[in-house]
Amino acid sequence: MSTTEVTKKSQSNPVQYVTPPAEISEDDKAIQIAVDMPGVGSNGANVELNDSTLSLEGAVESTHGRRPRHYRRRFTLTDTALFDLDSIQAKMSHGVLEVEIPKASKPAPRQIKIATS
Amino acid sequence: MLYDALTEAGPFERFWDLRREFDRLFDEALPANGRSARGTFAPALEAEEGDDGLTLHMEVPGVAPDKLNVSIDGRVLSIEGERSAQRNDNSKLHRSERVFGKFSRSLRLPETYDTDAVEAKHQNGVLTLHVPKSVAAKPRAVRIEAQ
Repeated sequence: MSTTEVTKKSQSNPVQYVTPPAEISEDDKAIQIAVDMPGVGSNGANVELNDSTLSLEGAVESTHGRRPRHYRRRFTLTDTALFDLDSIQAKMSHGVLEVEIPKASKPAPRQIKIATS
Repeated sequence: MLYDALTEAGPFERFWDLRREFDRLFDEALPANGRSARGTFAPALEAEEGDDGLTLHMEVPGVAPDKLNVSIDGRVLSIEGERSAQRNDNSKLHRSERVFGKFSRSLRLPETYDTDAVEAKHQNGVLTLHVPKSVAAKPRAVRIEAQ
């Protein structure tokens, strides 16, 4: 019924993603990704980590007759153990999505006691 | 209609010549690390004409409102700004597809627009300008008097 119609409509009009320009930099503590998403506010941005794929998306609602737009960039973290994935931070700043992926801190060396028999 | 209403002020080729000239001047005037001063770019500009006037959208992601300047000289509307890279000194740049530098766009507005009533708004990296039609240019009904 109406659900079927909606499904059909979404199949015939799949979301067209725009690939926005990105910049990747790195310092001692983290990797930073900045992606231009003009028109996207913090409510329209979405950052998702699925296994090793980091997906950065942004949606611009149709305003003032401008067409709605969907931005998407996806990156793969080849070695997830190198990063502190629980501490990924993201923010929107004047239409730029800024994501910071902290590097995993190296565990402190542990002294292992040698038992005497 | 819209394309008749908007023209880039000055021939476009001339603009690129000027651009190169400015680049050269900046290169000479600034030390070698004056990276942000090198190169200019033209942000995407969209224009739409409605019943109440002209609405312009310019995509300026990463540009703070205080780095934007909108001015009107006669009938020429100018938008100038600068987009500077915010990187800390000890970070290493791996990949950059984003462009930085100064930008400037100018549009000559026809007489039918009220250049005294331009409104500007900046939100989420998009600058929106609204130029209302002048009162004289708005369509109005003419009353027919019965004899």
